[in-house]
Amino acid sequence: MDDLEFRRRLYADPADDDIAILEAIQSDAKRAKFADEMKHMDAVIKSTLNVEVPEGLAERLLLKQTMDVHQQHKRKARSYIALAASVAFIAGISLTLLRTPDAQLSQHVLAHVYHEIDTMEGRIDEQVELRQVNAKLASYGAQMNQSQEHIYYANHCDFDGKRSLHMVIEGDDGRVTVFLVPNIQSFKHKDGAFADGRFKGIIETHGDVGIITVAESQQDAKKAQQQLQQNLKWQAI
Amino acid sequence: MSDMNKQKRYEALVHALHKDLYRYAYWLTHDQSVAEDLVQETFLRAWKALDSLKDEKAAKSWLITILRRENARRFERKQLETVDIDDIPVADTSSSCEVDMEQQLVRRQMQMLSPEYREPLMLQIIGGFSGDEIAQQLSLNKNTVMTRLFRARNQLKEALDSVRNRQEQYNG
Repeated sequence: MDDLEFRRRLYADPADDDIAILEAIQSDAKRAKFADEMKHMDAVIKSTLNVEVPEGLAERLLLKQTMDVHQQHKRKARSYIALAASVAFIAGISLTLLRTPDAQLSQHVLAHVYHEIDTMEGRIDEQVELRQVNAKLASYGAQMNQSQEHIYYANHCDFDGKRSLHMVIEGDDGRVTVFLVPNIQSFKHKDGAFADGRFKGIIETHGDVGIITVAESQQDAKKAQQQLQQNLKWQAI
Repeated sequence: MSDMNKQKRYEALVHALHKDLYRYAYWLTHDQSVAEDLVQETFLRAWKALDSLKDEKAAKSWLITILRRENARRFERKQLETVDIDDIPVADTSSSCEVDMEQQLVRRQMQMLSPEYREPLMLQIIGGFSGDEIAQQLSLNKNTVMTRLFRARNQLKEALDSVRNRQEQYNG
């Protein structure tokens, strides 16, 4: 085997254990050295490729499959019983929520955030300019005189039948959702904080307008509130 | 196949192969969360099609086939974004030493390697596949695969050597 062929084959596969290769290595110190170098480089490539795997990935994969099975079963289950159960369930929830008016608002906020979770998980970045935000803010009687960090998203949306402003801005530890909800009093809410397993939120009001911030960290939700209070200028309408 | 068996079989696959699949996805996409999504999609499809996997030994190449197809779909949905190599976060996992330097360098080189060279290398090293198996996976002939493997390592080695030479000059 000539030198070129020998090298070509080891480059293509350093673990090539063909007898001709092994003989070539044994009979020539230079070739043995080259084979060692290639093996060493392969070990480095291997450890480079072995990036860390996110913690709990296997569990998440199994969970997703379980949920999928569950959904299939749900689809398959034909049933007035299920329907009746759902009605009872919804009724139960509604009653619970009606008894705690504040929960109704925060649940609604969280449901909205999850409904448009893409805006919080980095898949959407519309790079909204201050000018565009102000055009939207105008209908709420507000102007922003200085831009928040980075605005990924800003749009009018339907917030339980009310036209509201839905904005996603940059926080220190991730994204922050901001809702401006006019006529907030109709929610019978009170100012305060709320949270679920993932998101933390703060509700404050300016006159009739609810200012709601939601983020994965309490700190971000709070900081966004402070920034908004500084940067928003309200007009009488 | 009973549901119970199918479930057990699936769990075994997840545990045995999710790491390799994730690493493969990471080097295809250069993005941790996209890689995780890709692996999620892959395993979900695998679950739905598990009955078609007859031979457990073929599981890895079967899953990689699904993953590559899912990745191609992702590109159809979204045009390829160009990635600036400096934007790719380099996970620093070990203390500083010579090996570490080499690893950083190899990491960079791997990222710069064109996909047609990188993928055969990933299949060989992460997948542990032979030249014939890689050829089958990529629908290429074996000679082409071996040539690409040769060029991939050749590029990596030249890069490593040139840095080493520069260091020696600097130190000397």
